[in-house]
Formats: sequence, C-alpha cells, structure tokens
Amino acid sequence: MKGTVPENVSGEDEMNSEISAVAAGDTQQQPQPKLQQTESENPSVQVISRDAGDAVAAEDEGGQTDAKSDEGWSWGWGSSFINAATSSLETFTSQVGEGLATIIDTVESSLGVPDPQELAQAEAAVEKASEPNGAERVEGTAQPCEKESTDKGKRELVQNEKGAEVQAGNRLLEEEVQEKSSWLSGWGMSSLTSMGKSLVNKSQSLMNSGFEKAEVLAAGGLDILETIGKKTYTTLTEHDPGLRRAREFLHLQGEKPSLSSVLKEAQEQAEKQAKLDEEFKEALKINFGALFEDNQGFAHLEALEMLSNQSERKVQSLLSHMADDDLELVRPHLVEIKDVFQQLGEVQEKETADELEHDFSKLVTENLSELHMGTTPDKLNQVQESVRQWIADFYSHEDHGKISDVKEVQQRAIQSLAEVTAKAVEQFHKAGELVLLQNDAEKSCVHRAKSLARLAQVLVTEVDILATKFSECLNKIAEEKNIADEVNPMVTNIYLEASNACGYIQDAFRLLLPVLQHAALQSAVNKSLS
Amino acid sequence: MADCPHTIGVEFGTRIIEVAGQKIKLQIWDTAGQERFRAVTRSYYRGAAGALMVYDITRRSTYNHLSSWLTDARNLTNPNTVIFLIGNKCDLEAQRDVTYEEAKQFAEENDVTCLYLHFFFCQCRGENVEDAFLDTAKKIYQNIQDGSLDLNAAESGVQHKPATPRSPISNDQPPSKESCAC
Repeated sequence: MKGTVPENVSGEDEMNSEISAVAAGDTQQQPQPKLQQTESENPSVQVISRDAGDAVAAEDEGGQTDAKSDEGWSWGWGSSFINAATSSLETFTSQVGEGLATIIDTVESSLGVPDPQELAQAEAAVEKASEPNGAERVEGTAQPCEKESTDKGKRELVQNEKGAEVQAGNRLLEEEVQEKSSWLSGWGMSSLTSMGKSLVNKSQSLMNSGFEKAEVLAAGGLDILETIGKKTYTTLTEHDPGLRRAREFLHLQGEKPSLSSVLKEAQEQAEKQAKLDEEFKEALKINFGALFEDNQGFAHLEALEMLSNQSERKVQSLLSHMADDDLELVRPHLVEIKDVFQQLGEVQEKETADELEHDFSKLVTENLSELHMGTTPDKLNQVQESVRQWIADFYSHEDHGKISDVKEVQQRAIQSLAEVTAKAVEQFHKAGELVLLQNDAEKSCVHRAKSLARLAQVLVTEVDILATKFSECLNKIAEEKNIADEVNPMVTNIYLEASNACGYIQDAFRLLLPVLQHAALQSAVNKSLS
Repeated sequence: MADCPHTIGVEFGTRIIEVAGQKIKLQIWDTAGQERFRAVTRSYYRGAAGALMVYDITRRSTYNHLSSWLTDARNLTNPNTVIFLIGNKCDLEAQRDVTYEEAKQFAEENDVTCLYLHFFFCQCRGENVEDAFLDTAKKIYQNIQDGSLDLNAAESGVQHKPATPRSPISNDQPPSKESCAC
C-alpha cells in the first residue's frame, strides 16, 4: 500500500482534505465510527482522531464531502454505503474489517497522500457516476473493501492522472462500483452462512451481522489508531517548538485589537526610530570622537602607535645586542630624551589660559624646522587659521545672537577642536616616520625631542585658547539672549572636549619616545660600525 | 606623476560602501611606495583585513617589485588577509610594458586575486578604483560569512559596531600598497 505518493505533487499548499473511512452504519443510524485524518501541508504532521457520531465532516474539501454525506443520510443507510464505498475508493483506505494489520497498513498508506487535485477530480467523477445510479445500486451489502479493489481503484486513478479524459474515468469508475457491489454481496453471503443466523430479510440481517462484527473490530482497531495518533501528536508537539510558537503567535494575533491600531503602532515606531536617527546624527555633529575620526585622527594615532611599538621592540633588541662600551656611550642620550618627555606635564601647569596668546603658525613652523626634516606644517596651519578666522568674524559682528545660533557655535567649537587635534596627531605621526628615516641627520635626537616637546606645548596651548574663545562666543550670545542656562552645559562640554584633545596630543607626543630612542640607538650603532 | 605629491609613510582615506545590504566603512591605508619608506611602512601591515598591490603597467620596474611587496604582505599580515593585484593605468595601452598574461600568471602562481584597473592618477581619482575596493570588501565579507575570518580575533582588522540602532557597520582596514613610485 505504500508508494502512493504522486510523482507530480501539485503546487497547492493547502492539502486540507479529509480522508474518511466509514466503517459501519445501520438502519438505526447508529453512531458511525469515522476515521478522520487531517492532512496539513506537511505530510508528516498528521492528526488522527476518532470522531464517533459526527456524521457531518468537520473539515472537507470545498464542502463536497459535506453535501455528499447529507445526501447520503437522506437516502437512508443504503446510499450511505455508496458513499462509503466511493470514499474508500477515493482515499485508498481500507476499512477496519481486515484487522489490525490492515489498519496499520492504512495508516502507512495514508502517509503517501494523493494529490488533492487528483482526489477532487476522482471525486467529481465518482459523484457523477453514482448520482443517477445510486438508488438502484444499493444492494444492501457493503462490506469492508479489500486491498484488491482499492488497488484497482488506484490503478484507475493513476490512469486518470495520466491524462485520461474525465469521461473515460467516469466509465471506469462506474464499472468499478458495479464490480465491487456484486463482489461484496458475494462476500456478505458467505459471512451469513458462516454465522448461521436465521433471518427474515436476508440482506438486512446480513448487513446487521456484518456491521456488528465490523464494529467490534473497528472499535479495537480505532483504539490503537487513537493511541498512535495521540502518541504522534505528543511527539510532534514536544519536539516541535515551532508548533507551539506558531500557536502562541496565532493566539497573540487574535488578541490584537484591530488592524488600524497595529498600523498606528507601526507608524509610531517608525516615527520614533526616525527621531532617534535624527538625534543620533545631531549628536554626531558635536561628538568629538566621531569628528576626530572623520579627520583621520584615530588612524594617525593608531599608525603612530604601531610605529612606536615596533620601535620599542627594536630598542630592546638593539640594547641586548650592544657591546657594553657602546651602551655606556649611548645611555646618557637615551636618559636625556626620556627627561624631555617627562617635562611636558610640568611646563603646562605653570601657565594659565589668560597669558597664552601666541603666534601659533610662527611657533609651529619654528619648532618643526628645528627638526630639520623638511616637513611643512601646512595642514595644521591651514586648519588653525580657518578656526581663528571664524572666531575673528564672530567678534567683528555687533549682534552675535542674530547671526549665530548657540548650537551652531557649539558645533563649530567641537569641530574645530577635533580638526586641530587630528592635524596635530598627524604632524606627530609624520615627524615620527621622518625621525626613523633620517637618523643620519646632523641634529641629535635629544635636540629633536626638545623641538617636539615645544611643539606639543604650542598645540596644547592653542587648544586651550580655542576652547576659551569659543566659550566667550557662547557667553556673549547667552548675555544678549539671556539664555545662560542653555549655554552653561555647552561651555562645560567645550572645556571637557578641549581637555580630551590635549590628552590625544600628549598621547601622540609620548608615543614618539621609543621612536626617538630607536633613532638615537640606530645612529649610535651606525657610528660604531663606521 | 608630478600632479600627485609623494606619499610620506602612510596616508589615510575612508569610504563607506555597501556589501550585501550592510554598510561597511573602509579605512584605507595608502602606504608609500618608495623604497626609503619601506622600513616604516612595514609597521603598518599588522591587522589589515585586505591588501591591494598596485603596479604601473607602463613601467616594468614596478611590476618587478611585486614579489617583494607580496613577501612583506604575506609575512606581516595574518593568513586570512585578502590580497589583490591591480594593474594601474590601463588607459595607456600603447605604452604597456607588462602584459596581462604574465600578470595573471604571477597572480595565479602566488594565489592572489588579479584585477585590472584604469587609474588616471594613482591615489587621486580614477575609474574602477571604487570597484577595486568594492571587490576587496566583498571578498573580506565573504570570508567573514564562511567563517574563515574570525571577527573576534585581535588582528582581523574588522570591527563590528552598531553605528545606528539598526544597521551594523564593519570597519575594515585594507592598506593599499602603492607599489608604483608616484
């Protein structure tokens, strides 16, 4: 009975077809044991339940079964047998009369679900065939159909499937029904004689006895089926959390008030998200870190760190390979360089922001030329000049509040600090690279270290001046508009980021220590070699 | 190449591109091609997710340097670093000095991906430059997807960070090796 899976599974997802095998039904309209199988779209998920007394199918395909069974009952038990016979023919499901072996066979065979399209086609054909002949055909005998007949039906259905005309299918099915009826009555006769009961109406009593027997067997068989079904269901539910989730999902869906509220909620969510994005963008404009990165500050700092780390390793390896005499010669230089780097913090503390005004570009150029490396601080000076120009323009206008918004000033302040800091770090990075590349230059590394320290000091001072000037701009606007409360946190923010900026500049400068020591050692080694 | 200033050590650029619907920020390290910078530029290979080796098809000397660039790239990066070979100035077909076939063979022998591009000015502006970085980024992305590049590794060169609450942005650092001395 296996292997009934059609080769051409149609694209239909909904395979909700009821496959019923009617076991029995008698004149008193006893509850008709019904085997109801609901096939979901996944053939492996089957819910098999025993649904006694439910003559009308709960689920069917396009209401066809519904109409048919109603009709069947109105015709009386006789015509219901035609239905029974046809439905068994349609579904290839044997009735339970054959015992447990057959039932299990059935369950197995039903796993190979026939194509619903074929089913519908066959059903339509059978209905056409049975309607005109149904009443005459009722011979009062319908017994569990045998494998043989089912197989025949299957063969014919296969023929249908292969593209035989519906008409031809009708004819074949008609023949089949006739053949089966006569064959079944013969079977019934023999069962009558074997039971040896005395009967008034031969066919009716034959029916009764047949049904009793079938019912007993059916009840037993169905119990087992039910057990199998329950077990399958439990196994599936336990091992398929998706099913539970699907149920919860469907349940939740049901709880939601309406589509409009769902849409409204989605819209609110989108608005909230858009607002968050906007705020995020705004925040980025006054985020020192983001602006510093935009100006490649972090990239230069990282590259400088890599350079510094490599120099550190080189210094260690050179020291370990150096002769003691050479080491004694070079050691004072290394210590001197280190001292220069440690002085940075001390110098800074002596000065106050008020007395800091200086000629930035002159000092920067001076200190860089002291390095004798041919680097020009173009980028640094350009950035610094444009920032100073902006501040000068701001002061030259009488009515500050009208031309500038506080937010705009704050943005400009943070942006300027980030730019200057990024360029400063870049300058130190470049200086570090050149120090390594030109260690045969006439200027000693100690001298270079001092120049770089002064440069760092100039840069830190410049950052302080810029922070002070921008804060003054903000305070001027605050006085004019009387919005000190709004401006105060901004001023705090500018000073905070300025100290951040100084931190980066000093970090960059300190990373140069191993680089200068490396250069000093290398030149010493070169000297001793030559 | 008088139009372009020499690269000292390394210069940086960033570009945000989109691969498979993901926004990816490329941090490009353009290292100097000149021999005298070699000692310095070697420091910068570590942690690169990808490398682009560029030579000038009109100058064989730049092509001849490739194997030493490749040696550095192989030795100083991690094994999963994607390496691309790029022939520069393909618009100057008449002055071609290095054939496509030999470059292709070199790429195959050394297991690097060969790309032909059409730069007018190296590191300034050119056609197909975008494609070179896009292809590199795609390859890196693919390596992340199939698991050969571990994002959690310290030197993968790729950072995963949520830039906005919704879309994650990776930060790649493929240094591009300008082996043409421009």
